[in-house]
Amino acid sequence: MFGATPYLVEAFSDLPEVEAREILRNWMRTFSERHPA
Amino acid sequence: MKTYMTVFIPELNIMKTVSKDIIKIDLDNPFKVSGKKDNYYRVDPYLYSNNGHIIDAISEKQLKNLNTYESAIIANGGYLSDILELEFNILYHQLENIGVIVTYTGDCVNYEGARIAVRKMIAYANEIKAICENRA
Repeated sequence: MFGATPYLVEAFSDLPEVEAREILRNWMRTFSERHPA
Repeated sequence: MKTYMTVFIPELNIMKTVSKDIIKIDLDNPFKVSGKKDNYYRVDPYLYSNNGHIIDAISEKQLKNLNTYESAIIANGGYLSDILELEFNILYHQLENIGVIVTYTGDCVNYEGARIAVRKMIAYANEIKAICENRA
């Protein structure tokens, strides 16, 4: 999970690395909301 | 019952104890890394810088050592790589061949555990991909 950024950049050619990192960070931050224990 | 992914960090072999090279990630709560805090911080840079498949990174000898720790190895720092079904099948068969084990909490291990864990990883990867696809 932590290392997803380069894969995202690779998969989405119009996605800058900075934004990919932010998306990943945000996904992590909100993970528990989508997956309540 | 929880599914853990155990990450093996070969670079940390210099520490001489296999147990220190392993962190466990609860796949239902993947951002709370169990194990020694110290290990987490050691591991983190690796996770950012290495995105290959753990299958490439682990030797049979290392696996034998790991078995003694009832640990699971199913994937590495590239969890959110684009794991397609095909890749999953390849991974699964590789795991089968080398006898990798997957732990449940305080329990023993079976290949079904690997299957569950990998499917969770695929689901997580797809979540992130969906966010990227739907971004404004």
